[in-house]
Amino acid sequence: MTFDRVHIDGFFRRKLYRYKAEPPEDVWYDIYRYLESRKKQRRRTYMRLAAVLAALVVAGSLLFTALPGLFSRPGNEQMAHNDRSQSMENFVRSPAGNPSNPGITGNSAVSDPHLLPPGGSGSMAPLSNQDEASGGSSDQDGPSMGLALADPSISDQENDGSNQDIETNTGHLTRKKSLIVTLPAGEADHQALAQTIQGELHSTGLPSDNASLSNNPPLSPQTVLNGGNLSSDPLTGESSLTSPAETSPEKKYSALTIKAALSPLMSFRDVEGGTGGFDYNTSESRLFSYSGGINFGLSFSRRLTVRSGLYYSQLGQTLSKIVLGSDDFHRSGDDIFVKLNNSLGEVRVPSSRLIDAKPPESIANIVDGSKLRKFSYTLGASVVQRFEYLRIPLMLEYTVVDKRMDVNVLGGLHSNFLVNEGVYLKNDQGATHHIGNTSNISRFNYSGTFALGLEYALGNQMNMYLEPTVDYFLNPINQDETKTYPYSFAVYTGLSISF
Amino acid sequence: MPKPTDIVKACLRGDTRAQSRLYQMYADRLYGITLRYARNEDEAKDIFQEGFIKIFEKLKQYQNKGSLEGWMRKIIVNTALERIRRENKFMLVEDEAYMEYEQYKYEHILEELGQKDLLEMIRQLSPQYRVVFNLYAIEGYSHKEISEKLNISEGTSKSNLSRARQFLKAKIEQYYPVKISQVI
Repeated sequence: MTFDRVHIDGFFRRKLYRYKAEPPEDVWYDIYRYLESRKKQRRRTYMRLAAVLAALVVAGSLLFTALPGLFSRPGNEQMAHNDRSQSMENFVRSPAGNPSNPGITGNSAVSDPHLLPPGGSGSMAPLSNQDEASGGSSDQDGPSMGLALADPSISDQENDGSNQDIETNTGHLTRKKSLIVTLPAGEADHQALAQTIQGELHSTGLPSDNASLSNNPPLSPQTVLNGGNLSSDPLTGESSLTSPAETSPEKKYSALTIKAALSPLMSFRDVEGGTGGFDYNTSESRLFSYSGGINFGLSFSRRLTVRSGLYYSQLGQTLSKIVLGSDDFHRSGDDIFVKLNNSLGEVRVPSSRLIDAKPPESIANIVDGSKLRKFSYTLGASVVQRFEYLRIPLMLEYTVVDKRMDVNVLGGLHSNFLVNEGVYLKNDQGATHHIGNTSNISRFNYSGTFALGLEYALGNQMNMYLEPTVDYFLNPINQDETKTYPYSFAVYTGLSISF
Repeated sequence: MPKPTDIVKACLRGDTRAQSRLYQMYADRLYGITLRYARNEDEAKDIFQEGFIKIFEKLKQYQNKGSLEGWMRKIIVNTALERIRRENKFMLVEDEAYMEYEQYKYEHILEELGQKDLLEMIRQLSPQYRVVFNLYAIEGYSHKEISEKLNISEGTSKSNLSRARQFLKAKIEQYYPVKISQVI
């Protein structure tokens, strides 16, 4: 009976298709452990998602309530600002001749008896007297101070000339009183001025719950003279001081800022010196990885900030289309190594980690006596040389444009500490596994860094920023004849918080 | 004894006992497959473990159409192929001309070989020959299917199969030189 190829296939099929073998006992235990850990991991993922969502909702709510201006349309914000300004202007005496408020020059508007509540008209008399006694503060060149204790709605109605409406709401208005005190500046001592204010308040006969100034600590004369505005809610009797600085639209100057940054990173290298006849550029290409860290800045002036922090970065390069000749195989004891030529350093990889398809004895033949003919293989997979650094920057930041969107220029140095390195084989599916290391690599390097920062104010304290950065090693990464200087491009983005 | 479909449903609910039951039902058959594809038992164990985890993870994709065992076999075979692709770094360039086959006249000697002997022979094949031989001769895939699975040409698949057979023949001669010479 002949036994041809059909028979050999059938024979193996018959014998092995239903072949059974007991797997090692620990396999089920490992599978079970994995399945259980997956269950827990899934639960943890859901919990984390829920926590992140909750945190986002809370942060969003806080941000929304803390920074209402950020979410309102500019038009609305401006309108609100105008309303507030107008309201204040109607009750704070402006210097005479101020064309912006012709209708409220002096106390004429407030002195209108139609505007005064029935119980309040008598109490306003001393005010008019004071006004006259002072010779009309509106005519004075010096600063004048107006104190207002009134519902802003009155001013709106006053401006509109809707006196009729006000009168119809007399019952409502009886609870609201207005008081304007004009103080001559630079004449009396501060203490006397404060007493004058207190006296005027008492003389108006305002009930103690409404005339809050009588219950509040006396106003500092200095504050009065500095032009501080005292506003008060007539219903609650609360008064507050608003300094000019707080009402200023200018951005707050912060001494300390903290940034969290993350960036994709593209790294490559420059090669100098003897290359031993290799054209590294044919097989070496850039590596895409990432970088991230935190950084804090100390501002010494409005525009100048010194920055430092801690960053983690992965640099390196990709080797592809590697051609291996028989000369690249070396024996060391019983082991056979393959030398991968590259510009960064020497990489020796056990041949078994690179070559499975070729029977090992053939490789041994190549190394020992070249029983087989000389050959060259092109490696089907690519090799990644990766260097992991912890980096400490020392950067100087200069703010070129200081608006809601800042433009900064940064320059400085990084101290780069090599914390890990490896050579990885990367297959077509993108999976990598470690196959060796690069020798003769410096553990410490300096690099020069230049960046352009765009920083957008999300609120008083929080900024979002984008920072395209270029970094170049100042001393070579390797200690070979061929000097190699890695460089990288990154676009850091993140949030910064000012204190 | 519960039906495989009921076990699958229980597994999908995360029932650990059902998972264990499914494992016990099919472990030995599936492990036998991985032994044919792997170089050694350690690798077979890794492939088997990875493959079985995939089975549990993909169980909801099983539509109750066709045999459950056939579906699981495919996952195990694919896991083995992925593993071999991952580990196999050299793309060997094969000449596409494959050899004519010799006629062997020692079938009865082959019959004396045990399953473990055959398995050992297959394991000694290089990964690419082993995979092609397993897929074609044992699993019953066509060269077209193999070429698609391994991303090689049909010619390369045929060539690899031819060389695998040659190698196996040489191994058999090595194991039974006397008997073969007597027969021949």
